[in-house]
Amino acid sequence: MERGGFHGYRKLSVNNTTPSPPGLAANFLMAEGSMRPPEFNQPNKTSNGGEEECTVREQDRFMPIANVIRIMRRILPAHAKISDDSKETIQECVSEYISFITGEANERCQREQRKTITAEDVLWAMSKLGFDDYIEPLTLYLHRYRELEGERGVSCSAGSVSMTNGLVVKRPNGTMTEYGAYGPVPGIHMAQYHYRHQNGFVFSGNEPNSKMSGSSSGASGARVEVFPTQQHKY
Amino acid sequence: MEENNGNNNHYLPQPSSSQLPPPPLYYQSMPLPSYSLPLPYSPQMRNYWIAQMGNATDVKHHAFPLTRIKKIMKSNPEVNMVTAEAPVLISKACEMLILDLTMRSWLHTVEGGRQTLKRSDTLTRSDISAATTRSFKFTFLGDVVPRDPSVVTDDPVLHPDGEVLPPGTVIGYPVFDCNGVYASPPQMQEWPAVPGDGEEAAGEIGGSSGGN
Repeated sequence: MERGGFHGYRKLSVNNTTPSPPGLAANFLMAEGSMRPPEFNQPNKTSNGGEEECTVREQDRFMPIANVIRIMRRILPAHAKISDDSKETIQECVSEYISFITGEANERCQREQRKTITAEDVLWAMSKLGFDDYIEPLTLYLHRYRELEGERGVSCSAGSVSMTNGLVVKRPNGTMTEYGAYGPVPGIHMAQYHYRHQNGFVFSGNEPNSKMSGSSSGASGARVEVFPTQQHKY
Repeated sequence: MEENNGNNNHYLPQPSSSQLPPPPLYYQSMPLPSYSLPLPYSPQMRNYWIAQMGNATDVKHHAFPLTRIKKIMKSNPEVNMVTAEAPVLISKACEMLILDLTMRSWLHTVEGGRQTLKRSDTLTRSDISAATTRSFKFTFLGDVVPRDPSVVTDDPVLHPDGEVLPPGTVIGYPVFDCNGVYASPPQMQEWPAVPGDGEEAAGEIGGSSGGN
């Protein structure tokens, strides 16, 4: 519960950079320590980002183009041609995707006062950013990877495996809740509309709640049902 | 019916192997079928291909070098440490992203050929731009792939996520509302230039209104 509250304030401070930090410091003694690193990091982020862009080699900013083309060819018809600009565009999309997911996963880490990004953080970030259809196959892949890797270093990974398994279990529950919220809605059109509002609520953590106040009664129902999922995850 | 099925496959977890038949191999080996046939990359097919990646048997060879993934992850100065599993997972996710983008973009390659009465078999940057414009989860690529406002108005019948709306549906309303809800948050998170993003979003909404 307290974590949930902290989460809300953290998001509000992102939207209102000027007035929120003092209020947050006054309200949460525990949050005070956590809030300061983001404040300090924000100005540094720009300069450090610039430095990183200068120091990192151009080649290292993208995935190898041969690998990208091979994957594209896997799904395209044999007669399909791929222009050079589209190859480069996909390369850029992949790097942007990695940074996008990493940023969101890292934000969750910092909220929970952890320093190491885990596979679960990555999965969580993807589901939050709209890549829900990737979660199930990635979870299967991760389990298979752990089965094989676990054989090598059982003593080292046993503890982490048990903890991460606990975390993984939460996701199906969230999915089931979403399914329950989605199921009763009648009609195709209403269903689509309803689903989009659910996504809106997932993003609502990044915006003031007033933006959602104008939603319809159906969306209000979705709002009520989404909160248990969020609480459960935290 | 097909619409509903598409929605189910796209948004809800489904048993991957029992629902959909395996795609015919000739989609990869034969020339493009006649335009009267349904396009090969429907949302159901796309979901099938993405789901199949979870069944990969070779977990030791990764599609992308993990060191480079780690380097890109750490280009964010706020990122401290990363477990060994995170780059492995991201490598597989990048594979899915490329398949996803490629399938969506190829639809536009084919559509482009239809409109010009000329067979088009070259995937171009504008096809990728059109594909990313139509799906909200690719909003974060706005700086990488310039958005194509004409795409929304070219095919007002298409649902923003690529599916056909049922007849009688008010098309403009959900598109506009979704843009209003979805466009801002990722951009606000990722880029400091909020005014510029705001202008872009406003332009996009204007485009949607024009479509109405």
